Amino acid sequence: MWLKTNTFHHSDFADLKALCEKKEELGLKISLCIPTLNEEATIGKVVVILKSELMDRFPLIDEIAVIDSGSDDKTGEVAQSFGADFHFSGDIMPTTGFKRGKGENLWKAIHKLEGDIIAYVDADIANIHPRFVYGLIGPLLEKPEVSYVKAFYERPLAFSQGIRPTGGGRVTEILVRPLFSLFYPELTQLFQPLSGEYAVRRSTLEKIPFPIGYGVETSHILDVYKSDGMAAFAQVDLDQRVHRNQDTNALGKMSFGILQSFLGRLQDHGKVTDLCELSSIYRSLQASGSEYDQIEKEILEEERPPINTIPEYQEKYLK
Amino acid sequence: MTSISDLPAELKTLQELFLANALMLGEFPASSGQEEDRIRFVADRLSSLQDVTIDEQGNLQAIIPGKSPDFNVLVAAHADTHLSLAADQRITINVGPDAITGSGLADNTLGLAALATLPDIFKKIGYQPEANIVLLAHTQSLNSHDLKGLRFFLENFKRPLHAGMVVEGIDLGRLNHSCLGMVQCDIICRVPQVPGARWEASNNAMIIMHRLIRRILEIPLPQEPRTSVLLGSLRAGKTFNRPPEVARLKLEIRSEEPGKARKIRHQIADLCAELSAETASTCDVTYPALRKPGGIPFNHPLVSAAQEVHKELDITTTVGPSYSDLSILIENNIPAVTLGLTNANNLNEPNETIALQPIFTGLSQVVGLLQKIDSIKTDLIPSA
Repeated sequence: MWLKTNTFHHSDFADLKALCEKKEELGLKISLCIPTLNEEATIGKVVVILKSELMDRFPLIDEIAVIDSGSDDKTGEVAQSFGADFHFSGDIMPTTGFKRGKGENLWKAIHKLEGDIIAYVDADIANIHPRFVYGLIGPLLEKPEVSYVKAFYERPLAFSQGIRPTGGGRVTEILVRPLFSLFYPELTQLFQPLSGEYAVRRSTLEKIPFPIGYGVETSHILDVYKSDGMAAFAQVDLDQRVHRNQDTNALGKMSFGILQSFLGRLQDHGKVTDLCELSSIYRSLQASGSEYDQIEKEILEEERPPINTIPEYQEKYLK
Repeated sequence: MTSISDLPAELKTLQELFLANALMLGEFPASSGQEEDRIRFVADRLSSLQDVTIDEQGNLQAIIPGKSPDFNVLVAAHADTHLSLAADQRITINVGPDAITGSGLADNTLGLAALATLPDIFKKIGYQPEANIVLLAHTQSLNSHDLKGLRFFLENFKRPLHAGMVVEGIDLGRLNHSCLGMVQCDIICRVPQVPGARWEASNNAMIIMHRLIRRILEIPLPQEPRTSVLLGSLRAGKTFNRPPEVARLKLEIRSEEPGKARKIRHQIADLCAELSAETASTCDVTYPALRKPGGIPFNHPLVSAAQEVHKELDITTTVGPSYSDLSILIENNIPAVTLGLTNANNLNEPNETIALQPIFTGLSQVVGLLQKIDSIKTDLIPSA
């Protein structure tokens, strides 16, 4: 059963020397991408710990790059001061233009970073530890059939008073898991399909489209599942991840973006037909005294096409 | 081998290595007696060395072998911090280009990180010391634990130690070579509460403790040799309208004069007995920590060597007495000094901030002093 065979704990891969030997034996190059937008408070720590442990001490990773959406704080300066490469995503494949969003950064990273495996780690992890990377890379080195490794966690949320020991993953439990249960029951074996940390083989990354916003993780899972089945996935327990909490309103917007991607995929996969045209306006309400307002925000889940269709990518990697 | 004045630039190239150690160590909660995670981390970092052992008090020791098998120098850093966290709290350390931020860095995450990085530093600068460098991360050092780990290590370590260096996070430039006599007093005042009894001052532990404090402050203290009574903590009561039944005072007596701290301690005990009798309360005093005054002279070769290192690194030396780890080394007749690595702001607050750049000068002074110790070997082992 997939859940038993393809679910790991990060400690299964804690022997970094052995992991480096395996990487060497397979002749693979591994890149780490940290997508950012205004992360000056935490980026230094993420770069220091991952570079020191996984490049300098154990050569598991060949390059670390921060791919940024146009921060107006010191994210770039801090990242570079500790030895990470820093790129504005608008400067990568400039003919494709620039869109602001995490998915855009992840997509551009496939062109900029040269690894056969690319690991993605968010910059807002307060308790960053090398396990967040080696835990994800481990299954790709050990199991050739696996091409997409997702993280899952016990998710405490950091508050000013301390940490709430359980919680988080609310969008997963309230939106994504019910949807998977209805349409893709096999995918319910993933603990946290929306986790922002994953490692993927280039051969898989280059053939899937990238929503640039909230829907990127969900659509990745649906696309890889459709093309390669459940065997392509593994998931790794990375223990706790401490991160900033998001308010319910932000989660509503996130869910709206995810639903757009999900419904689009349902139609593409023939699971629903005759889907009406969907609105891209997210509407929420606000009450202030006796004033009642509706707030409208456009959330358009634009998608980047599979990168192997882009001439600049073909030129660099597919010739 | 790199000259001492060139060390800071050389060690700066190990910035990420040192910072990663500090960041990861700093996030392990480590109140006294709960240092296990930190000790395991440092053990992992030192795993390539000789005789890496964790003793029954949880101390970690490891040896960087030197060229002279019978010459041993101790480098020690305490592994515990003053922080006590609730079960749902965690420590977060962050780093920017100029500073590291987070509780407990100064005392003593940075000292411990220095210890964990020392083998990498030696390798980087191509330094094999003359002495065997005994690295010690000791436990249970703070407050009432009274340096239990370090005491245990010194009682049980089999080789002679010819010099010692205590590494603390702050302050860069400190050079402690003497120790104050020190007594910590933990005073608990209890008053019996009778339900419905008329309110009186004698029913209120806070007021009794206040009287005691006033009398303690009346004890004459000589300016020379320097002597002081430091009132550290006072706790009593829970709400607005209920006289507290219990009050607790923690204080520390320090003196350069042999026997003076002990004498003041007896005076405080007499005051407690007197107040107990006057107010029908119980004022009990216990002494969680006692240290004797002592030290090595200012002109000791080890102190001179440390000053030379400071001069070569352009560090302004601040000489003063210590009353912690150093005193136990001195008690055990080991010539020793305490050094600090860098400077800090907002001590013991969540936004405790440590200046980053001075750290590399601070680390250089540790390495520089070890190099100087090689050259004063004959002073430290007269028979050598």
